[in-house]
Amino acid sequence: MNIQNSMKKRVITVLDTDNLGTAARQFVKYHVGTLPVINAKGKLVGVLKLHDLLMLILPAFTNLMEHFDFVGDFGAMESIRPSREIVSKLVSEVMKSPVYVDDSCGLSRAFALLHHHNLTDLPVVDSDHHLIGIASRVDIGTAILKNWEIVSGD
Amino acid sequence: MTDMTAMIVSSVIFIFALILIFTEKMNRSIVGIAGAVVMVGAGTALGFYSQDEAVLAIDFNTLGLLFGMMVLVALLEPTGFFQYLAVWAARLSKGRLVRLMVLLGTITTVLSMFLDNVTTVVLIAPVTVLISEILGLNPVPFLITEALLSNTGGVATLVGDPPNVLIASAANLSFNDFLTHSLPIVLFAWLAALFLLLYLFRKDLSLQPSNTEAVLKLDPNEALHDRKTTIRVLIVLGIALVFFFIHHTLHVQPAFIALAAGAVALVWIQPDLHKVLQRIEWNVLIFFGALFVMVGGLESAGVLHQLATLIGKAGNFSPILFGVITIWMVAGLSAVVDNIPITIALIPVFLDLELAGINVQPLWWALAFGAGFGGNGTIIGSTANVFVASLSERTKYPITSQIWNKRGLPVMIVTCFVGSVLFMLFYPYLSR
Repeated sequence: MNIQNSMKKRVITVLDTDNLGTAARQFVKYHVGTLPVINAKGKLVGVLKLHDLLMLILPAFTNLMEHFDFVGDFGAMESIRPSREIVSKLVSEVMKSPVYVDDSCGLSRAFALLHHHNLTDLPVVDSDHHLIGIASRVDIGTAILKNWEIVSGD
Repeated sequence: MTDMTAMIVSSVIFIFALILIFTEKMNRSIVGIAGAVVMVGAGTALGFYSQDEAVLAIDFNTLGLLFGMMVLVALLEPTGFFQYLAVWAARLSKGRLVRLMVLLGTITTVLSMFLDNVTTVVLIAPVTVLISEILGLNPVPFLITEALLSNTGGVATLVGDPPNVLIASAANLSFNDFLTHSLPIVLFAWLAALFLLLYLFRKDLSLQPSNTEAVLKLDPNEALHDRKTTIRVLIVLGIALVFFFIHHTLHVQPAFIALAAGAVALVWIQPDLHKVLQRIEWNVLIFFGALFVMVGGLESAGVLHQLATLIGKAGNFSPILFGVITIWMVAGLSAVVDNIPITIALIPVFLDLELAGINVQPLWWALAFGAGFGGNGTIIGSTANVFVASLSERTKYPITSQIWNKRGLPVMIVTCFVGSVLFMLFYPYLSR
């Protein structure tokens, strides 16, 4: 079993030249947590995670303090809006270099990569580095379980 | 002729090390270690300084006092006590900004009078960012105020500031000498600094904070997560203070009291020693030790004696004026260079002046005021300033050198001015 059979073939993406405002709309519209970033030629150049986008507006004190459990109410920080500066940043400035697999990758290796890099989604590319699919932790995990006798026997 | 060579060689080594420390191209403790080794090496080769003399040059009284207090701070740091105080101040302010600034500034000052300035600011500043963010405010006015007031307040006590520890050890000044001579003058300088800061930040302080209820929901008790250790450290610290008051009558050095307090606290709390030792600022202790060795070389080579003779010859002007000049000169230097090397280098000069029959008693206070107040002037003037600035870079409001100078320089000038006026008025008293 390789990843090709368990990945989603319709992938929600952003272009590296899009800004973060566009990316935010994609996250909301399609309710996804990871946006593979492609260039104009359709090649995978990066990954933008919902988590990284939110980190940009997180209060500074959460990074400065070891303990902040005593803060029951974030007050003004709850209604914070990202500045125009942040929204107009390019996706290419914020995206991380991608962790990906090619379409011949086995499921165990795919899962090991997700685990090692603490990711939830894994883009899949063809031999030309074009993005052809994306597999989530759940996609890969359930595909592995399907091979188990106790599951398939039922 | 050899004397001349020794003086030139040792001066070049010391000045070169100071330049490296000043330009911050290299960690100051690394410069210190290398400089000390070069000084002893050159001294041995040229015959002006030996390893035995170098060991004798290290003032273990200063190192012991600093180490003992560091142990107490290391035990108190992880308990959440500092956060507790800051959160308590925030609640007490009820979102009124002038009150918040005065409270946070006062807490930082009082803590830094008895504990290390830098640690105090390191622990209070993140909570200040937290409070400001919850209130939807720019934290910069509060951060700058805390650093400036803790620099200023630290001058008041023997244990408040490393230069004071050095001065007290060299001039044999007691804890109470500081309380009776330095504290009253620093109090006025501190008040002047506070009012000046409230004026300089009047625009920021007139803003309406957006969410005061959220601050009232902060629970200081939850911020304090190790109540037992906190209470024990505070009891030990309190008893140590009492002993500091009477150390002269007991004929013990402050270092002994600090080390005893550290020992008692360690025995009582029995912490994970590995973690405690990690929080000790070894680089500061090494820096001090290395500077003692380097300055010892200067002294052995006769450089400091020459300097004192020069000052003595030029010093035909009145001693009061000499004191005031000391305040401003040392302050000016401390604003741009670390005040610890300046203090360590000036101490033997003053001791030499004393041998020449000059009453240097008031000069010790002038040195303490200059070294302490001068650190306010620039963003690199004190370690607390440097820390606050680098912390602010991780928020949306980075503190630039210009932002600092607009507040720090006026505060430095005003505190030095107040210090000078009171120095002149109370000159006879300070001479005793």
